[in-house]
Amino acid sequence: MTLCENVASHLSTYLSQNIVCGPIEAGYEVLVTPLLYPDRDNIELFLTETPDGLIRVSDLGQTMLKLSDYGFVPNRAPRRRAMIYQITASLGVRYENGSVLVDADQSTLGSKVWDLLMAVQKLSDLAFTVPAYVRASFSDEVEDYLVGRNIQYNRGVQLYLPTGYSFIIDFVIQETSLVHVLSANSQSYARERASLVYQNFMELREAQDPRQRVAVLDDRSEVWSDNTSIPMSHAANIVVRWSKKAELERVLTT
Amino acid sequence: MRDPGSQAAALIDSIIESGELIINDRVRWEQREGHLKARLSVISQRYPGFRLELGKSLNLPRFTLQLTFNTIAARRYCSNNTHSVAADCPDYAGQRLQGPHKHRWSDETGDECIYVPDDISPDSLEKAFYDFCAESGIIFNGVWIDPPLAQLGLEVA
Repeated sequence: MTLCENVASHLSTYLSQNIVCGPIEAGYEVLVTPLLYPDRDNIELFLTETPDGLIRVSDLGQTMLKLSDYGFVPNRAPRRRAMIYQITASLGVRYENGSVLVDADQSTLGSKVWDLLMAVQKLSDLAFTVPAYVRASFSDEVEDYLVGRNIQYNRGVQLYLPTGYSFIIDFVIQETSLVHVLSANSQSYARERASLVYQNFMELREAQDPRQRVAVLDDRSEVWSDNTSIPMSHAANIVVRWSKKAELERVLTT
Repeated sequence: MRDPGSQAAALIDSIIESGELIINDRVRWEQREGHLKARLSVISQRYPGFRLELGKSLNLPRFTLQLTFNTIAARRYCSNNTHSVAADCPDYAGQRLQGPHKHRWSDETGDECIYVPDDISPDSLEKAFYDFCAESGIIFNGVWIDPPLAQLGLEVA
């Protein structure tokens, strides 16, 4: 068996095992597929027979409901509507009253349902055209920075201290540093966030954790007053500002 | 105002736990493509930007309830979808779940991770709405209006 045949065989098995029939809902048979919406809800298709003996397969509007939750509302933006029609037209599927659907006979059923699935997947990915959905967080920026400098890290690590206290640290760097990143656009949230980081670092100190405690402040907003940052500097080993990249690199690599 | 993209999860959790969110709006349904939508303002004394959204399928008994914060889906309840849980999620890692579930925003995984609430009724949109408000620390002082039956394809007496 060639590599290609091996992969094809396993992919075929995976698909056949993961395309299943769910409970009947509102009179429709439900096909649950392994393809996913951006929030990892499975793409489900709803099946019924038409009076002329064809099989109608539809998402029954679930994709548009999902896109609506993401803030993608086509009726206010002609460009968004154009994208919907471009996707459905290129795959030969119908778009009617918010549903994406095909009618198929036995000879075309497989290929038409596949095209429908591809259309639903592409439509759901329009969520990524909503700016708020893809906006990078400060943690993402820090992660990009670490990747760019080839610094080994683990992100979002749950720590359980011997004292019984537990929390999620933003980054564990090279097993030697525990890093909290702080970003805020208001002084009230800056105080709130700093207070939580102070508490976590004090618990680490109490537990005598040997790793250095580092706070990285996003200083592009002028929200970090002395009353916010000074107490944090008592609990952290080092407080470093995002604008001081040379210092940040030195702290994280030594 | 907070940057919605950075460290939103901790802020959202703290506000929900504080019980300071209030809705005084009346539920107003509007027709979208394939579904109905209602959007309610949520008042927070400290942080503007919260909103509650209700989505009701026109073809299925399914609905969604979503608390957003500056367009981030802080919490989203899905009444009857199948969900495949990512391997790095804290609950049900790697499993496929069929039925009601609630997405919970995380700065690391976005809206991909879920839990199964045991105090939200999936059987009735109105009941689920009140349960969702209670679970999200929202005080509802508004007026509940059922989705318009005619738009759901049902007979109106």
